Amino acid sequence: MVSYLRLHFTVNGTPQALRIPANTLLLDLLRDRIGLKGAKVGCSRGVCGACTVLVDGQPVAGCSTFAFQAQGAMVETIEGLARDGALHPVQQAFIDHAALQCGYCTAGMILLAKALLAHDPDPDRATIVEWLSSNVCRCTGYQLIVEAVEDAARRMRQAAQDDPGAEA
Amino acid sequence: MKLVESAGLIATSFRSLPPFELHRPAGAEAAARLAASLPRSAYFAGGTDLVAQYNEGWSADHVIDLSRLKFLRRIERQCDALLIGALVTHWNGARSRKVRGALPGFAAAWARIANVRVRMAATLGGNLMARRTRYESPVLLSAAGATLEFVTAAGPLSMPVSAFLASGAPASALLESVRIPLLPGMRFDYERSPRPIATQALALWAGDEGRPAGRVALATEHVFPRVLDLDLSGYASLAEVRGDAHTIAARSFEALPADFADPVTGNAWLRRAGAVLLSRQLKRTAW
Amino acid sequence: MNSCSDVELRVVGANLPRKDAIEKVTGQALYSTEVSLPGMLHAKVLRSPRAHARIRSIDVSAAETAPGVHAVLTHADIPKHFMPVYGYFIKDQPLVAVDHLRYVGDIVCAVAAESEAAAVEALARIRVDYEDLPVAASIGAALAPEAAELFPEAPPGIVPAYGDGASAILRPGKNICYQFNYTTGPPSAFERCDHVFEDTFHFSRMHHYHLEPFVTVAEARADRINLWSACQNPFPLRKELARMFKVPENRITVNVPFIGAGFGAKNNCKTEPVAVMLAMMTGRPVRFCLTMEESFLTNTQHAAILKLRTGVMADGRFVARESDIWLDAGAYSDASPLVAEKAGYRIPGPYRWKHIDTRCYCVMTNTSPAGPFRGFGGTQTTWAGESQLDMIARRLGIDPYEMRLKNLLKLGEPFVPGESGIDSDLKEGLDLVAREVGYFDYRKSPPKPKGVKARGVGLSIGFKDGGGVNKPAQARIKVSTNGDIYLHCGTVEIGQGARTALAAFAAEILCAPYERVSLPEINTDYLPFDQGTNASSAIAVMGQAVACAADSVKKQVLEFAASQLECPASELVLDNWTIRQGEKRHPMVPMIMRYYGGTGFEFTGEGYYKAPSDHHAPLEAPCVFWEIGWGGVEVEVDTETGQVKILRLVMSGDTGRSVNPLVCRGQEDGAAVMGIAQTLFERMIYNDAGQLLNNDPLVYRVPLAEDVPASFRSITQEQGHGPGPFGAKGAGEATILPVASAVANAIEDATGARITELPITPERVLEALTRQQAK
Repeated sequence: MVSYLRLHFTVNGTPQALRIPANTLLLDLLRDRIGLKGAKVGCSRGVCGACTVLVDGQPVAGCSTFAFQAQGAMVETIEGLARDGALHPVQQAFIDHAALQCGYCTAGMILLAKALLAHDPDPDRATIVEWLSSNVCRCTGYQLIVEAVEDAARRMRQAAQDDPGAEA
Repeated sequence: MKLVESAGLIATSFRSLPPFELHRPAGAEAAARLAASLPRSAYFAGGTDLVAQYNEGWSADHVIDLSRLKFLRRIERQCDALLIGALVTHWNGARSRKVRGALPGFAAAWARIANVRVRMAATLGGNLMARRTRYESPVLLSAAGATLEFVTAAGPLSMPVSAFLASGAPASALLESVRIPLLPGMRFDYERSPRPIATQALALWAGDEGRPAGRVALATEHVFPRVLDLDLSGYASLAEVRGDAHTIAARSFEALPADFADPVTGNAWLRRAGAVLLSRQLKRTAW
Repeated sequence: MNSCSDVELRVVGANLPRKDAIEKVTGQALYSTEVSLPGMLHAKVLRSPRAHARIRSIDVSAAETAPGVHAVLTHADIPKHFMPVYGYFIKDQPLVAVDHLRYVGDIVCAVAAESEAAAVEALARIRVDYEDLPVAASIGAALAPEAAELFPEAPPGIVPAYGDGASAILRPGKNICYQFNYTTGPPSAFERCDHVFEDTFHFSRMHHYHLEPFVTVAEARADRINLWSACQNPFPLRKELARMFKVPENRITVNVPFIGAGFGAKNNCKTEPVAVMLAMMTGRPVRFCLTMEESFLTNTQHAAILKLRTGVMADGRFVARESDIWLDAGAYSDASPLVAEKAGYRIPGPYRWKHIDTRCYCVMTNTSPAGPFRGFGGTQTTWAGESQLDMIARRLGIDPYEMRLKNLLKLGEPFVPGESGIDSDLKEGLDLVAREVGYFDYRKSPPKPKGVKARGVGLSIGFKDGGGVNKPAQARIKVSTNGDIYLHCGTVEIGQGARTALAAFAAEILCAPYERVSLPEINTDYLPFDQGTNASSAIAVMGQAVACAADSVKKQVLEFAASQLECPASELVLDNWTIRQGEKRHPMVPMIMRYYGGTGFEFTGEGYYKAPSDHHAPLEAPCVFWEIGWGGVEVEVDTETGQVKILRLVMSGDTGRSVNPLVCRGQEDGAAVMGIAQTLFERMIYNDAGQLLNNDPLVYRVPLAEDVPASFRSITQEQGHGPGPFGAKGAGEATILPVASAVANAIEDATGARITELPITPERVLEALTRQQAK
């Protein structure tokens, strides 16, 4: 039995070891302890998904996930997507398709799309809609987001074809 | 929001979570003993609903994390039942070969509830134990005639899902698995089109002497599933059931209590549309 | 003016990346929720669990001594010389309750503590003794003879000046805080009508469901108040806070970081008064951030009942309309009087009449206060007006499309006497959506019914004025020695892409690359005044101020260059910070350094725009532009269950000219999807006791990607008649307007059954079908 625990995990590739109260939520840990504010505080009920981050590649609502659940895991946040100044193809597609408005759901939507494309590099529109239905966007009506994800999938498949050795 | 009777409404959130002690028992009996010995304790599975309960003002001094209990993730096909461990996520359960092999219709329905993100994180046990009317697995399991298998400090305990939904489980009972009977020729259908108003699940199987039998479970966003047994005594085959689907459905819904309604939708529509949808479900399932 | 003299448009009309795109896709964009100051405390409030009650007694002593608590705020703690009430026209909402609680969620008292957990803990120790009062949770209940008055005494309020035909009254009756009236033409017109039809429509209310909560961080230091707040109208907020706290306006600074959407909710005081008061009491910065459940209890759309009495000729020509509209204002007036103005005023729709007589009442009920919401009264009037048009057409045996054509205002024809002319070709838009949705094919060969499924098509024209009433805007553009452009304006980036569009105007007019324009964060000390980011006004109102500032700075630059080159300015063209003089090119930088020295210079241009006041215009100034949304829908109705499936959905707005076509499409897509939700399922559900039954994100359903019909398409028209720069108009509200009525019209087309109440649930459809069959 512990009220505090030592948490070892990686965030965007950087190993972290932190002593945290057992009741710390992943979202609080990321935003207030680690300073990564890209995951947003929305409904606080695991419904809207503005707080989505990836834990071992799986999209989870940071507001409804305890930090202790990420013990030993690889956590990815929106801040970790761009590499060496180059945007991730999903990020670039969101820009090119104006698939964002207020931006509050954007990090979660991009991470959902990244997880989807890792799971299925060539999803049909229905699959994209099914995955994106995990999170709420109140601004866009979703159409431009779906189109951005379709385009990102195309670009990533093309890039994989051009350079089979490159990291997806 | 939390209602403190003597004060008023207070908007709690994950930023105001009270501290708790975290326990990580290695066995089910140990977990159940721990829960029985600790005042204000809660089991923790996928976590997706527990935080929601905190937001509603509930709190625990002790949280018992079940993640070490690997056997709670097991899916086991027995000769007359499918046992699904409480920690099986919707995602894994609906995709598991055992579930799809034994109950393809049930697996297909299970794969459609909630959303991808929730299906990946949320567990069948957590979904049930939350006892929320809007969650969908109770609808599916009610139609399937499932039983919940608990471990308690006093020993094992079985509860039909409907009894559990009506009254909850005894304090500190640990849900170990969900038992779905494998009845001969069992098939399953889930009608989700009236969401967010209602959904309804149908199970059909070969009953006594191979004659068709079945039940339908209807739930709304605000009301727990109501199970209606289909009176198929006059039918010798599924083909006959299909042929007379309209009458069977209408007759079955006559048993829907007049007070089955919610603040959004009246009994008349639930009864009438439910019968129509059941008739269609029968037509596409009874073959 | 307003264009590069000799080049095609380079920036306006191009799909350039949004100004905020990189920050938002990388997670670097900061919102008020991220603001944190050293020593910051956290506020939480105790809210009324009762819909209508009096506070018999309140004991906060146990909260005051709770760990981590720095202040407990009750009404008694507010200095007597403050004016702790707020509201737009009527100051009726207290900072914290005096002793009368008017809805579930009304603020009883507040706490500032070291953490939210400590604040919650302290609030739970407060003891309140409530005495229940009779509850009026709906328009009908509030107007019933036995209803209790929500405001036994009149709160202070004003009626603004109105022009021809318009007027208003404060407190015309019990539980009505405001009544707006508009009339034009002789009432005798009714006598000439062949038919007069009276129909009543019910409109349900949604919540804005902005993902970013209401949040304010406030500090009161020395004689200053600084705020960071998710606020759509920081300058009016500053004025309101100055009045409430008796502080000069120049001692209050409102900063607005990015806003995680508002849709109208984030206008005027929300979390700000409590945060400021607690900051004053504690001397520490205070953060007050609501949960989404609290947002549901803070501001909503207006539910409404609309009764239309419409006189027509046998051939379908509109003659006269009388209307009574009751808006559910909730427990406090907020912007309800302003919404009443617009709901009342827009009742003619985009049609020609001999007589209009309309009254709109703000009814106080024991529910969450209603306020501005995308569509602002136009959603309600379009629902009623466009539904009734189809009902009348069918009664007269006229095709609803033809009936619209008979009555539509022409391009340039004034909306009503004294008003500006309609700036869209209404038929052009109607034909577009009718064609795209297959309306004409349906009329040629109606589909055969397929078993229990019936198909039909419906049209609707959503209509509202845009640009706000009598709204001024100011902008400033600075250009540095190197040609880098600063655009200073108070338009808040709430997601709509306003900063992208306004930057495009500046770049276009200054013939500069779009990338060279930057916009500082909103700060009321440094930026020129703006009335607020609302009424789709950024393009048509602020856009004109920005164009004016750009023209001004360009003129200064050219005059400076002319003086240096000793030639008339008319010979010179500014092109990417180089002066072209025929074939010769003169870079600006050396020219500036030569004259102003090596430390450089900045050119500054100011811009201003306001529609001129005119007492002949009913709302005292003619409307800046008309925001029109055309909708076409094909539905399939399951006649056994009442379920409605949208087979085709086409929504279209007219941006005049799309400054950034993709951004415009996103606005129209988003508004249409909000409309779909309102039409089919989304609503706040109150019971008679005033309890909000779906006050929880788990059960308050908003549309997900899977709820958007696969066939949905929004088509942006660019008719080119807008008053803004380059012919642009505002966008973002048009396509929420026509969805519900188009769907109801399509259902009637399919089945003959008419739905007059939102949302269009299967239950209501089945009831209507049953009534229809009984006829």
